[in-house]
Amino acid sequence: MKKMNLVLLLMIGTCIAWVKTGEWWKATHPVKLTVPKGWPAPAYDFKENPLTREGIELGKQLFYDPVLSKDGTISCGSCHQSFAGFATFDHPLSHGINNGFTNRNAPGIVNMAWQKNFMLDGGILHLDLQPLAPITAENEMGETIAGVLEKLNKDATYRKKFQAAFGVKTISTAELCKALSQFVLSLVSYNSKFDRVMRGEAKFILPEKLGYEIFEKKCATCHPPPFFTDFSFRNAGLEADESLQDKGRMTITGKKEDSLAFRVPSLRNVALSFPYGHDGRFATLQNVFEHYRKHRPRPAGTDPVLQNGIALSNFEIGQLTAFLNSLTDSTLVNNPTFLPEEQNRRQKQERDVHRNRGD
Amino acid sequence: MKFLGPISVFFLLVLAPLMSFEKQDAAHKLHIVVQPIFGNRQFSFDSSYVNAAGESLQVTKCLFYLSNFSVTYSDGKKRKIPASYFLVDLSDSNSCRIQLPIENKNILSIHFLLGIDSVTNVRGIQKGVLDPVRGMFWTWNTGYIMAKMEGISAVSTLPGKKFSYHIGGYAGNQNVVKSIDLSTTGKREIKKEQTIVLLADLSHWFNGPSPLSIAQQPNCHSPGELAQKIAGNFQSMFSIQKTPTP
Repeated sequence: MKKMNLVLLLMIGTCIAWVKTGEWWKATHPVKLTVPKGWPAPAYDFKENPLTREGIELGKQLFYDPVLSKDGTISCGSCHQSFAGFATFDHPLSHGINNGFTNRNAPGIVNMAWQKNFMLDGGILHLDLQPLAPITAENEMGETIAGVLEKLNKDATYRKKFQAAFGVKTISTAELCKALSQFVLSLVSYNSKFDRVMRGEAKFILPEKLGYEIFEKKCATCHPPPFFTDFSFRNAGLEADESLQDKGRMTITGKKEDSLAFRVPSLRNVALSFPYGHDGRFATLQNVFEHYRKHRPRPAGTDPVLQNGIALSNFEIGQLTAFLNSLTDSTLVNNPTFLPEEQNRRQKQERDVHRNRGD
Repeated sequence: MKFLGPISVFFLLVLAPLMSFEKQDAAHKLHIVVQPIFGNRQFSFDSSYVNAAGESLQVTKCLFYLSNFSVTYSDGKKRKIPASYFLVDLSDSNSCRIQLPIENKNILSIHFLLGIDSVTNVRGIQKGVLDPVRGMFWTWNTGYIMAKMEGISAVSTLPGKKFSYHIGGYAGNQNVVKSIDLSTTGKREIKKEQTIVLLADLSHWFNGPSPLSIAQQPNCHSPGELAQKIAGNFQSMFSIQKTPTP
């Protein structure tokens, strides 16, 4: 009997010690990031922020919640729109609060787990720090970090969800940003037709195949697969917009040679993410091709590989366009897991209406 | 009597760890009180001062990070004090009192960084005084604002006659983090159990190797040359007060 008591007490003791150390909340549901075959190891340190179902769901709710902005009008999803491959759709400059324009066209934010620094100027050196830039920029969400945390901490539902995901009673900057990171990290684009062809699950049609060959020769220096960017900063020969005065990478490094250099954008989902260019000055892919093939002196500071432009015939542009369309990942942009819950509900209701009519 | 065994086990396993929850740290503490001055005058936020350029100014805000403390004991041994990060806000007297756990020995000198080490700048989001919510972190260009001074001067060309110096940058030629060594010159040692007063002379922000004129440079909000010049000035602002306060 004594032995039984001892074992029992030992168990109770362990339980209490476990609760006391705050380990009990770890009853979350771990999620493993999809690392497509042949891709390098992710750059993000998941040990510091292990993906969980609770964390990703919370991150998604925050991502689509305009509560993060000062006047409750702009969410992350306002500029990173799912149907545009999580970039800004149709607008040259992404919009901020007070009917304002931001300085840039928000890029797509897929495959962020593999990226080491963020923003078109590379100013941000950790994915967890990234949300603080749009939240606090006056022409984006115009809030303060303290303001967001105050709103979230007043919201019982959010408090409960943060407790479930991170085991905290009070929400701090770290949990806010880790939740957002978790959702963004889960946006892995690897199911475009291009990917399926590479995996041997599909075949290019002829224009796509020809386009791929041209792409390899003329574009892949800066846009190599699988990310379709080499993540570098390059001056593509776009003159500075006088009203924006955006110096790109130079804003961060202070180096003259980085003037007007911006990150090479990923071309994944490029067909969905128009307009193009850091300030959205190119309305269509055709405009982009025209910029590169135009015979004209390039402005000083243009990247060496673009000094002479890129020779492209009309035929080649046609084939290239076909290939670029094969980078659209419809399984990502239409996946309800990544869409706002409200939109999912609405779409479900619409389907229900049709079914009733059919009956 | 036969319950005594299980009960004592119960105490050991369950109650003892609970009781030790807030265990008092018995280690010795060095108390440092940061005391701002401006030249040879006491500093206060409602007084005006004049810098070397002859500009009258009033400081409305002044914060800086002190981190990575280590001490050299009287036996010559230098010891790091782990996880020592402090944000001194001159408008908050609590933040001006720093406590360091030390060994039971007298101290010859103290060493610390004015600013935050580069590794911590890029580690993601930290908590406590390092939380970006404290307003000492650049959201658009990753890195801590190591030191910040804001104020008003009639000569400023900025709206509201304000001036604003946010000094940061940790990498390469943008580095403004300064390593500060304060030894007790002469033979006197800092006695254990002693409170030392760390004088912070704010006039050094303006007066130094690169004199700073508010009229010419009312604003510094990014890493770079100007930030480095100002940091080169203020790195000499600290000294240990000669007569210790009782």
